[in-house]
Amino acid sequence: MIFLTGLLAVVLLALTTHRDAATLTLRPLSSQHRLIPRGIAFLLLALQLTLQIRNSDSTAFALIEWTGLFSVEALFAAVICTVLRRWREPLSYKQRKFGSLS
Amino acid sequence: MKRHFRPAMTWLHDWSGIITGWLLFAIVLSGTLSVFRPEITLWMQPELTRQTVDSNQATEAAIAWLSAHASDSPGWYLDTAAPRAPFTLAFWSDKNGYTQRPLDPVTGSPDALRDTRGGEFFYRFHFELQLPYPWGRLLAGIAAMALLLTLITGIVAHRRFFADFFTFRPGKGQRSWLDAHNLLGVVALPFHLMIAFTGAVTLASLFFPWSATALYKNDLTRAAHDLNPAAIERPRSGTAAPLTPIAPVLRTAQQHFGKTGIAQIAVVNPGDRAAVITMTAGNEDSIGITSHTISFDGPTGAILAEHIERRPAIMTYNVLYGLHVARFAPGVTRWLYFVSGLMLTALIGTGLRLWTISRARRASHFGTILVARLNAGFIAGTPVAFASYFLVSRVLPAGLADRAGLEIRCVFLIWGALLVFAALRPARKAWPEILTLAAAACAAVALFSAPWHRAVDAAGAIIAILLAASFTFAARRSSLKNRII
Amino acid sequence: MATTRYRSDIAIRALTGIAGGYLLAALLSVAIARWLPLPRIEASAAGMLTGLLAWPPVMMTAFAIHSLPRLCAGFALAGALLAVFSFWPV
Repeated sequence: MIFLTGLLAVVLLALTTHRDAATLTLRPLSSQHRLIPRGIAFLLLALQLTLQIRNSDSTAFALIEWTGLFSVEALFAAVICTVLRRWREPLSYKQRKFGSLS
Repeated sequence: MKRHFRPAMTWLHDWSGIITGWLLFAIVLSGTLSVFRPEITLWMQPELTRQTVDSNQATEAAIAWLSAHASDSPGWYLDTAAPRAPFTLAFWSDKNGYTQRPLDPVTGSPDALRDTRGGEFFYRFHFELQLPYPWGRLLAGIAAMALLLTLITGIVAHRRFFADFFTFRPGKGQRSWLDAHNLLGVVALPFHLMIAFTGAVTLASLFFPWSATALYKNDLTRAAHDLNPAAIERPRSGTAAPLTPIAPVLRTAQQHFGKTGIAQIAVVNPGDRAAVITMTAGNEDSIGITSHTISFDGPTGAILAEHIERRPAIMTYNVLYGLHVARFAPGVTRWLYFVSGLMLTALIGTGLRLWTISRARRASHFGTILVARLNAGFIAGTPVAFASYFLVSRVLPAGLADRAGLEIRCVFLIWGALLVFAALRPARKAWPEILTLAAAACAAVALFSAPWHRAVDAAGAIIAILLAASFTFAARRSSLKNRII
Repeated sequence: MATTRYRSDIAIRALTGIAGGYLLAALLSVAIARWLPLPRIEASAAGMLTGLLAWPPVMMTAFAIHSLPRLCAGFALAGALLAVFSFWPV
């Protein structure tokens, strides 16, 4: 539950920072449109931290666990966004002709 | 040197990275494995089938065995049994020198358990590099500072830090490697910075002792006493006196420590009138190591000194040390340390690859070719060597004398052989070959974890399978025709 | 770009940054340990931690300052100042 909250938050963050076409909408988001999902994402992260602190005896332990979880969530988010982009973008001519380069 | 700050720092990042990269790769990977060192010891001793163990009973049995078989040792040092580690890890000196072995929790004897260093091999290698004191530790300390420098210059070198936070574009050659390198660095940056700095802190008293030297001059005993006033040191008296029964002493310590329990016990000069028993509390509720210590008089069991650490500067040092060794880490956090350690290992690996790829375009001369080949040897070969440690342990007969030393020698033989192989083979061919070997070795570890009864065997098998899959994927990618190197 | 001039530039910076930087960090740790109004062990712990943190920025400076003479002069000055704070009898 806590992990999913964090994962959702980080995915939201990822979607708003994506440099080219936004992963879901295929159009770049304007800077105002970025703010709301980002705000929600930060709130969710704060919620995750609060939940962890309440679940744990020690605030310090909870903070460490929250920081570590963020890394894993961010890695997942990057992979999810990459997969989504691959799925959304049709293969370019070059890739279809020559196969993917390493 | 480059005129502007960012390019200069990029240059520094590249060079400090490549010079210390291979050493750091080995240090970080062995450190990552050390997160689970008692579990690894457990894996390597299928004889230890007991799941739950009474810590105090195990300690009593251990002390009884040591009193009978190691009475001449100047000291006994015990890591007590815990849910993670249902055995007592004891360190003592016999006629052959110092030895460290797990002791059975019921009999207190190491004889029924096969002679193996277990997870302690990775732990020791991680900061001693199998070199004589103090050279290994000095090198590891320098490497830690180099890692810190490489991380900081890497942050400076990285443009668009936040804009590219989640960017990963696979299938684009150097671009993809750089994306992966940046991603691994950025998402776990707090961990990387923390582990590098705290790693240096744990060894700082060896390579950076000047503030203590300046204030204490040569009086290092005084400094040690000031650091932990409860760690009493007394010289041998020469008069024999039996050690007090340990059970009441354990109960007293337990009362003082509360739920944290007793983590470490040191018995100095056992059997002598001046014997001292020092007990250190666990890390149930504190990150910092040695936060609570009690020393008892050996023959009588009376409390000599007790110390709870409250001094801010010393607490800071203890917490930094504690963050690195992570004794405090409960379940999820421990796995997070492990995963983050793997990310740091991959960060170093991708960085080493990038160094070669970015120079592949220019005229390749001897240095670049050698680095490219040794990259394959180190990055793909080190996992093979570490995996072989587990495999050799299952293959060697349990009753063999000096098994522990033999296991470790096999690791270095395999490692050396792989490095020689990689140096002589074109990198293009060596990468898929050694990566396939790594995949096979990890799969074998999963297989050798049979019959997967204990949690440690099952968990080890799952991790080994995941790693085998990753290496298989990497091996196939590295053998594609259009690869750069 | 591997001219002798370039190589000696790198070598001087590396030496200044690594050895000189280590020396500056050590002097800083001693100076802090000496002047902090704390018991000896606490002061030396504080000095040690601060000195460790100081080395990476100092090493970076050795490669950031473009003029070599200015760099060496700066290090020498810093060293002299820290040495005074560390050892001048009070």
